[in-house]
Amino acid sequence: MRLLLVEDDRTIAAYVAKGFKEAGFAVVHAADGPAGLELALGESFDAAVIDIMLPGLDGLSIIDEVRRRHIRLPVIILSAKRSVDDRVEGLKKGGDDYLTKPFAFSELLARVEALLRRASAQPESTTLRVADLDIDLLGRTVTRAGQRIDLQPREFGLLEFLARNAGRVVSRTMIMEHVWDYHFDPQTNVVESRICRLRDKIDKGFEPPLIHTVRGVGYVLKAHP
Amino acid sequence: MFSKLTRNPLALRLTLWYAGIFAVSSVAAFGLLYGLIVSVVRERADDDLEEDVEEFATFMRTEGLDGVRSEIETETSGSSSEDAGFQIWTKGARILTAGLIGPEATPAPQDDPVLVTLPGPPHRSRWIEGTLAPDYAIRIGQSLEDDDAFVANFRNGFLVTLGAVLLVGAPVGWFMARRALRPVEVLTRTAAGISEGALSQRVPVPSATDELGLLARTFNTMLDRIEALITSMREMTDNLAHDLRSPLARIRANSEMALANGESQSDLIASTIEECDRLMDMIDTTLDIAEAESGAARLKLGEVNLSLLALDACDMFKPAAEDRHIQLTANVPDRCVLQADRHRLQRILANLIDNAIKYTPKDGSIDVRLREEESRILLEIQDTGVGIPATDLPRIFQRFYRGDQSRTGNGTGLGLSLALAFARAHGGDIIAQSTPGGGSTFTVMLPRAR
Repeated sequence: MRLLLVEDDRTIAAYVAKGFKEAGFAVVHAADGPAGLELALGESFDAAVIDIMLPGLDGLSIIDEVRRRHIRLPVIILSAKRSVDDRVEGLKKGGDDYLTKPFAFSELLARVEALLRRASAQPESTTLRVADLDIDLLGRTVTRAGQRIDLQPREFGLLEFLARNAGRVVSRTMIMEHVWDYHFDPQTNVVESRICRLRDKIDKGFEPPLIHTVRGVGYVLKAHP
Repeated sequence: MFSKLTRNPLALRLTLWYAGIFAVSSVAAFGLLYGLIVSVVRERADDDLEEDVEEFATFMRTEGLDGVRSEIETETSGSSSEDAGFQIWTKGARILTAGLIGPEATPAPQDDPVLVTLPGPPHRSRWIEGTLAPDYAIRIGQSLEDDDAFVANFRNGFLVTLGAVLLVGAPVGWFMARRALRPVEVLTRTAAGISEGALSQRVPVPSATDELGLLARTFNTMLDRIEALITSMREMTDNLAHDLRSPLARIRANSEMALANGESQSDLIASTIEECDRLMDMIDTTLDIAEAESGAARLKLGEVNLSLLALDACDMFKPAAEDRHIQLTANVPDRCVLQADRHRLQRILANLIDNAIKYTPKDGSIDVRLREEESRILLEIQDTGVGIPATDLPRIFQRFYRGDQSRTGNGTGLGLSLALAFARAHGGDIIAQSTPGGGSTFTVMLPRAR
């Protein structure tokens, strides 16, 4: 997967590039608007991560130009502004996505992968498998090592979200957004309580533990710690 | 005086306008009256002359030409000889002239009497030309001296009066305008004083309930609000600075320890990330409140089933509440629909439940209820928590206010402010009732129609 990164902040660019390289992407970095546009028009990428505020040419103008030439390039816009304006909202409707700074890299990665999934339009699998855990998305049943596990609907939703992102850390904010459609994180740690209960059902009496807490970042579903 | 004039341009303008309008309307009224009087005087003179012609014609029939002659002689003799004039013509020849000098032309034969005015000198005169008898024409003239003098007197009298009224009235008007505008001057001086920093100053309110009294009162109300706003802003900045310092201090301490230790630092780094998230959350929430309060936040209105929203929220919080041995229940109707911003309502709900969980000890309970009234929907969150002292009740919605019980907790002191700001953005409100030791009830009132 080739990823175009247009970001003028060197620290953030290095941090994002390193993360994507570790996740198996080939990253091409441009540090200003005109260089980013030249790359976007001249080379082929599977996805792009573009900052809004750029020297020379702003991110939205790059996207406008790319769209004007009918180049298919799924984009994630990075914005330091907290409130998202209508243009960015519009892009989200058009299939692109945005993320406000500061962000967790795991969230950026999850969003890029979601964009790629949508772009390639792979038929969604109806089952998810992590180690000996099987999730049937149609029947909404869960078995581990062949043993049926009863989950409440929200617990199923939480496990499904973790399983779709298996191996990747998902933040509490992401869980709140995807499982409960809450766009903020209540002060009472509702996610932790829910994860505890899920852990009791999924991991208790089985080896190895699959649900792991990454302090300060979030949770991850994987076979090996 | 000149400096007073330039300092009070409004009073000057008012005075000039009043004087101008008064003068113009007086002149117009006088002009009308003058025209009326002139025409009345003229008509009377003409009527007199016509009557004279008829009288002489009658005289001619009864007494003959000599009778007429002697009558004219009596009329033109003595002191009033310059008041009237007579001419008698027959077959193009003048046979009698007496008194005032009249027109020289030969009278034309006619049926109706003809009237002309001669300019004088010495005075204007009015002449009538009529038939005395067949083949005899008569001209009778009347001096207009008295009439002109009467009209001139009237005109002069008016001009003198107008001048006098303007001369006296303009300063009086100026004085009145100044007097009427004095409260405005006081208002201006107070406003100027306030902009120099004395926010507690107020404008003296005149006792009369007129427009200026209203202006003064409105001005004072505005000052009250500005003072309250500035005070709360100062308090908020102080609190914000204080509340930002604590996490920053912890971040700094963590980083220093991580630097010094060199070994397993993941815990310290994780804790630093948590502190950063807390800071960000606090800043975001502060901005959200400010946006909602200033009206800058645009609500994304849609049809929301509040019952479902409340059930979802309870379902979400249930495990967390159970972990603290708190029973969380929801008593809501099947359906309760209103036009609202779904995500902001979620936030109101979550913040109030958050708050209830924070202040409710082990083995307590929290009940979420929904009641529908004709024009509004009441969402109640009742807990069996520690309650709020009556003295603290008015302050709990203030930003960064935290009850003593929770100072040690991890609250930001922003949850209730945000809930209230969002409820108000919907045209609603939140009220809190509490008995210390007996729990609290928060009631969110939302209008059904907006």
